[in-house]
Amino acid sequence: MSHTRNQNEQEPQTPHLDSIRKEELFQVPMGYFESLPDAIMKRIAEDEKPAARILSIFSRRFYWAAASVAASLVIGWFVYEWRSNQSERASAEAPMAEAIDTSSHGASQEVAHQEQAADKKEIINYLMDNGVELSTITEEL
Amino acid sequence: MQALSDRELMNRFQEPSQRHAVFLVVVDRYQKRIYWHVRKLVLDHEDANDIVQNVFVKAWKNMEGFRQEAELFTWLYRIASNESFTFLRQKKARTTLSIDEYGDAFIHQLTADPLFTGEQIHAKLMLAVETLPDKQKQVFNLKYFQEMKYEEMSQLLNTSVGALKASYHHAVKKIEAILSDN
Repeated sequence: MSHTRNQNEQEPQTPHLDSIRKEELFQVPMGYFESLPDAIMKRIAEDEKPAARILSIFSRRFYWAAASVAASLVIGWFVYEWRSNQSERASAEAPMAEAIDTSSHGASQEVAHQEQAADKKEIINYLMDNGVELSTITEEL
Repeated sequence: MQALSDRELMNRFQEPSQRHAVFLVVVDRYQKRIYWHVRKLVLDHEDANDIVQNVFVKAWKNMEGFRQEAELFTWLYRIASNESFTFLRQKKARTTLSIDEYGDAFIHQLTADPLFTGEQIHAKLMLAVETLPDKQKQVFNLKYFQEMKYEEMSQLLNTSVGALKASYHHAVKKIEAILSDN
């Protein structure tokens, strides 16, 4: 009695499940198991290939490289602009510099004349103080 | 090489020049059992095919470190179970259908599959199996479809015979309840 009850507890009543005919429910495509080992070995060979190195455009290294190139271009552009401005300014300033040079040359000549005149006056004063006749001094100069 | 035992094959696998030949024997020996185990869980042939290939690729990668503490088939079976349940969880997470819609779509899809040879009632049975927790599903499939003995199942699933009987009992009661509702 007890044994029967234990068995009933172990095996539940399953009228619906029992009514289902047991049969093979699934098929595979023709020749599937013959080709499966090759497919598996192909997958393994693909997995063992060294992966191609892909440089992502979103990697930090790429950003640094792009930033360096951009910075180089900007600096290069500034240097180019600065140099061309310099050469333009130099060519624009050249005639003015010449003019300045010319005018300063004239001024220096005048200063030299004035200095020479001052020197003569001092010499004359010195000679007259030392008793040399003005007529003699005039002849000598 | 076909006549070698699993243990002898694993010993030969340690020699690099023998690996491919040994592995092909392993694939040939177990591909059907692994395929049918996976197919009963995921039902669709293409899904099963992908999973079986993944199982053997993983086996290839890890076979060198396989310590033979379990039988080779048990090791492959566990990889296959893990791969299948992971696949099913991911598939379930992607589903946006309600339970009723899912049941109708499931039966329609299965009965429309040319590689499914069962009838409407078999599709309903598979839907009922689909609702079981992972362990009960495995136990039910092994006992009901493959008629495996509990002792053998115990080694395969590393579970006591008593626990397996209880799992099967619960699984059958749930399936019976689902079938009687329909």
